Amino acid sequence: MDDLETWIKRAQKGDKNAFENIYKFFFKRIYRYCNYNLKRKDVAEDIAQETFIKCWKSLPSFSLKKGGSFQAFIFKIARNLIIDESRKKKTIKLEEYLEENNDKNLEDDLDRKSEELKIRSAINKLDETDKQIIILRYFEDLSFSEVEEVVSIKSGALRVRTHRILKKIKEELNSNE
Amino acid sequence: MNKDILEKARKDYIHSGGSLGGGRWEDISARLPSQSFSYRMIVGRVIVISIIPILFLSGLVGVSQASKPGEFLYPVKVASQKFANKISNKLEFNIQKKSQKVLSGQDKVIEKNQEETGETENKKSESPKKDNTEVLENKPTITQISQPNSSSSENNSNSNGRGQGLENAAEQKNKIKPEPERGKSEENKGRGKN
Repeated sequence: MDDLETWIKRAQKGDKNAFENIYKFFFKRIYRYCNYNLKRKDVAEDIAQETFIKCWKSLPSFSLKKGGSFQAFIFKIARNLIIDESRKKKTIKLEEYLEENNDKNLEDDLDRKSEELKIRSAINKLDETDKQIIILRYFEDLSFSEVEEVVSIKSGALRVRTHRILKKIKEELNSNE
Repeated sequence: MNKDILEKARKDYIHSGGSLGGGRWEDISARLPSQSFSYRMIVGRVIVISIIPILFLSGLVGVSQASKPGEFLYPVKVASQKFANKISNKLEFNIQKKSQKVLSGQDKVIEKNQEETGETENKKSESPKKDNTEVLENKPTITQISQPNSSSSENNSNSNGRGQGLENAAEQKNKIKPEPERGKSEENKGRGKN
């Protein structure tokens, strides 16, 4: 992480090579995050690229000294862009769209275990914020304080909410069985 | 149970990323603008730092305008008015100043007058008889009226006797009579004729 800090500091001074390192370090994760939320590879790639451009522009306002996490910073940008993108296409209901794509995935990934798919559908049925909490906390391994920064929920409430979400997923899976 | 579910979901999530390798840095690097952050940041911070106290002060001055003497914000009101007077040489402020000066001067004059009147009243109370005598002395008497030409009248009396002296006295009386009364009498006369 020391390397990341030096890259960030250099990038803040306008060093594009340092930012390239940051880009290579985070791109896969950001793209995956976008793709999981948007369910369209082309749009996800655009959003991921847009995330890095926005990150470059707002990098001077980011401060490591104030205990800011760069992970949280970049995921917050990505999340905001995903929200903007989903608002643009509000004419198509997001849930319907996700269900459609889920069906396609179901057809494509018949060889996968049915339990994994059930979990995925259970997560997709969650509230947008709840879904982000699960993705960031358990899939992207962000700490609670980092998730708190991205989702803008206080840590105490976040822990309670996470517990409730897990309970909800469990209930959903049990009801499907 | 939860851990198993989450582990499976995590695998699914990672698999959803597909086989996208690294992304296209060339596309992005061309779109990155040059960072002139230092100037923007400094200017932005200076603006924010300067705006906050200005807003606070203007609010304080605005609230203080409704304050009355003796209240907590009254000195602020006075200071703001003085400051405004210094900055803008408006006529209103000059007029207010002048009017205040005039009023204070008038007060002094009134005080002086009051002091003087107090003194005169004291004097009057001390010697009321003297005043009366003075008034009486100032009033013209019939003898004085007849006296102005006392030397000539004496001469006349010496030459023409008492009859001429009485005529002179009558003339003097006519002279003393106020003119409007004469007019009135003339009008009355005219009315009588009509």
